[in-house]
Amino acid sequence: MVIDLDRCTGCQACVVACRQENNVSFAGEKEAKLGRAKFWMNLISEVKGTYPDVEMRFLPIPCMQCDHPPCTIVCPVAATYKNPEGIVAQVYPRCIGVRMCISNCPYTVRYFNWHAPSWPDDYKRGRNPDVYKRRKGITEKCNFCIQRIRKAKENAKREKRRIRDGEVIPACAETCPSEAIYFGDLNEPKSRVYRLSKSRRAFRLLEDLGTEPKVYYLKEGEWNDG
Amino acid sequence: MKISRRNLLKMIGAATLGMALPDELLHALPKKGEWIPYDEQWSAGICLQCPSGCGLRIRSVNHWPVKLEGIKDYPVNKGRLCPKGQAGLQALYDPDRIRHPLRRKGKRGEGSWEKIPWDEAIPLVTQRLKKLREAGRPHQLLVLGGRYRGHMLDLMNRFMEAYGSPNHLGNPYRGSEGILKGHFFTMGERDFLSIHWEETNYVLSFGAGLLEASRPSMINLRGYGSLRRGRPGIRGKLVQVEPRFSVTASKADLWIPIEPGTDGALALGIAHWIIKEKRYDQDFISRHTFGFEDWKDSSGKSHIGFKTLVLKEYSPRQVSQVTGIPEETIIRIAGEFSSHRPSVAVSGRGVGMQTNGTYSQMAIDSLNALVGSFDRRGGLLLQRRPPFQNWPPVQRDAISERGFSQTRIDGAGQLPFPFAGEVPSRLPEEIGRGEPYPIDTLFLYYTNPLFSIPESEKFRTGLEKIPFIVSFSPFMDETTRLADLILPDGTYLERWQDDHPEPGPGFPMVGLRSPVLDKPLHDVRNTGDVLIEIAKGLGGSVERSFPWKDMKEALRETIKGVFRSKRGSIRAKEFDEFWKALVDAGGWWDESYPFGGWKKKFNTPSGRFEFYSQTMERGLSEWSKRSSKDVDSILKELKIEAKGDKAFLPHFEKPRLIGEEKDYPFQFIHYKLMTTAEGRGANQPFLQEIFGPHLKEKWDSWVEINPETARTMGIQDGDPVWVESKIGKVKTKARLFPGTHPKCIHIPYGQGHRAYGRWAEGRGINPNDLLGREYDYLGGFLSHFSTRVKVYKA
Repeated sequence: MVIDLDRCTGCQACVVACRQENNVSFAGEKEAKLGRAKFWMNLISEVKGTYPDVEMRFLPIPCMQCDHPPCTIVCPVAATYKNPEGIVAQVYPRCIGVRMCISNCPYTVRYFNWHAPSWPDDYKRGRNPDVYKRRKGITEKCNFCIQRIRKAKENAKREKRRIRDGEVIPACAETCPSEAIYFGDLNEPKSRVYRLSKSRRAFRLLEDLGTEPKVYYLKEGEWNDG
Repeated sequence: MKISRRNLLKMIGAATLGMALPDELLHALPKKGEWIPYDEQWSAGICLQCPSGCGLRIRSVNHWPVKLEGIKDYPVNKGRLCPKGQAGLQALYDPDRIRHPLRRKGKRGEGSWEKIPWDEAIPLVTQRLKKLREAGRPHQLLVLGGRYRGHMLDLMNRFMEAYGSPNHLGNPYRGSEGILKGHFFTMGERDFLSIHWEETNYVLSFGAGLLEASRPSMINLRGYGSLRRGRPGIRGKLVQVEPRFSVTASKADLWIPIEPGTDGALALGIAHWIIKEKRYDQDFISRHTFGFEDWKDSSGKSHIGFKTLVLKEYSPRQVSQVTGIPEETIIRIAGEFSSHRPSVAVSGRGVGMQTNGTYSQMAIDSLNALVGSFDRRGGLLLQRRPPFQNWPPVQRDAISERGFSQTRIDGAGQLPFPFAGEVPSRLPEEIGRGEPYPIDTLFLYYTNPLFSIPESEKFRTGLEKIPFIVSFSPFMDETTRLADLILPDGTYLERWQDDHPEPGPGFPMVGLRSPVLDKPLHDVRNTGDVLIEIAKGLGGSVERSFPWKDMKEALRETIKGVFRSKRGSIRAKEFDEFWKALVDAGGWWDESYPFGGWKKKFNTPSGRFEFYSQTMERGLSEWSKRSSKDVDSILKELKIEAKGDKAFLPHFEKPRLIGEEKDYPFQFIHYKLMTTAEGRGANQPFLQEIFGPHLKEKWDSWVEINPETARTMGIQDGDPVWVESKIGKVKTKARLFPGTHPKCIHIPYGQGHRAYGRWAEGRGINPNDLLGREYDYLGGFLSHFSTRVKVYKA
């Protein structure tokens, strides 16, 4: 995944699209204020400076799907692992909720179900049937909308072809109003994400930790750019 | 063959029995680890979480909608949706929706209701209106409307005309009237203009919340992306002029903090430099504008032109003193704005909510005229309407003629609001006094004045004097709670309704909502259908004005015009075929947009862009004749300082404020966030939970104070504080935000509901509880940013 911060407007469409797609319930006022709201795709912000020299930055952060994930190695029951597609997957039925993965994730993108997900009855009809239900006491996280990837793979297999570039996109990328999120195969040199990841503007978060994150950011442009 | 779970099980059963299956079915069977198919459908609709009017692809599984996406080629949103659009299913499935018609039991506002069937509820209205008409008092019906879309506004206007009441307040643009009035005086334009983002190089924004709360929101979000990275080699520039450091300011190349209410002066300062340096578009100015140079009227009297006025009074030095912006900055922007064409100057609430809003907007429009950016590629687009077929003329009888010609109850179109279409904020007093006549029945359609208009207590007192209130709201909002009868509408996913976004992409387009479910989720009805039924019940000429079975039939008739034009994205031989394609596609549009239609689109006395507004001049002269006052004394009545020619030219008027600086040291400016940009998302938990990302605030309100200022007052981040104006006071949490102007405080808009469902009610504070009512009389609108406040620890 590549996120172009020069296009990003901080609108949080990705955040809501993700929750609707993946049946991530809301936490409510009390729990949200305790920091227990789950945002598989989260928008974090930073404000600094003094008037009128102020700076404010927004950064959408999904799971980085690290190639060397610090979270998987600490799981005592192998409930989380790096799958062959490169996604850091979570096997919900296996999770016992020790939360070591959460504390070991440097990007703080793993979320714990402190309560059983609460949906008012009326909302229940609007849940996505492609997504596995989570119960109280387990960890959950962004998986690049793995249900969409599977579907596309099956379609491709049926048609005896490879997945085309841009054929699968997670909910966040699909909705992004300013087209700031790109998704594709980083191993495929012809793909758009590969090309963008080699851009001079590209960087990754906390690269020096050696986690090899698979989400690239493109930094904002300067006045004199193009 | 469609494969549902049931079919699949049957097939598996068949297979185990060893029966032969055709190849294609065997192929469709799930292999190990594969998905079990279910019944999935995609349908089209149009979003209504804000007035953008985005095309929706609705994914339904086993009948129920589960996800909203954008329609890929829909001109407004091109397959994308904003957070409000994405949260739309929470409006549909809101557990606190009104589920059936309700009649009040017990006292008003008490909240006790009884369920009644539709065939009892509608006659309650019809009989009352019939009696009112028979008594010759049809003008005592008042309609407050809000978010009309497409032909719903035409339908309500039609109803009022046929029934015989002038008292329709249906402005869907509340809060942004200043912008519209500016466009009206300079161009005769009644819509907002949208930016041709794909090709513009330089966007100079005067307080427009382009990335948070703007119109059309999706076009602006999408446009921002393409401004920055949509064209190889060109990274368009954004300059944000605003006292508060907003999200838009943070994404801009340059943020220019300005003294609140002085945007007009800055625009004129920029104009000064452009004119002095002769950097303006001379061809456009000479061929398509009026009043740039000094001129003589038909009687030989000479008048000063825009050029003379600006060169004399608005040098960057003079402007610098008013705006607090350094001279060099003004010159720098003027240089860039005029040399990076196509460039556009746009405005937002910052301009439109001041007492000088109309003039400021005229000044900003003048900047666009100077660089000739109207209706040009990369400029500002004038929205074209689709070729609708007109409905047959309204039938009026003697009663409706008499009723319709009564003066309006809100005094719109009368002094001191000569140009106002409506003045809703004056209603409380007018209704309360029963002058010029009492109101008998009130309809509320998609509006919630007890939340959205300042001094709501007075409004409530006024409303309580109205004997019968009918609300069509799908939600139990503050105003609906006062109703005597509720005839609930469904949500935007459940009804037939058209939608032509203004502003949209410039070229003509129309979207169509069609019900996503076989029938609405609850026992609710499209207000369009209900209105037609009421009209039929009234009989006579009112009935004859509505020759349709329901809203869908009325829409089909008007859309026949689009079908017959044989243009645009859908063409068909038969109308039924066209209609079906329209329902499937969600909309029709004609992209062959004719730019440069100035002669047709500038609807002014001169047929040109008017620096000197003859519309205003003629209007006031007319009033002068009628009221036997001279024009200058009328100007004084409108609280305009300028006299003579200057009053009809863009100029700077000092903003007027409520409260003295020594008692109330802060200027109070509320702002909107992406999540509740139309103030209506408060009942959706997904939006509440991401409410204020810049301060990581959720589910709550706060007041932003400059950290230095707060320190001198001994206020720390998170402290509870009182914010008090002459009008009222509210208690909330202080947040120290360095983007706050030291002389201002800010509260986000959208919270503070006293009703509106479990997620919204009793949460945070409503900025309207602080606001007094000050006006831009010329434009005829309430200026929301004119109240001073003080802050102290609670």
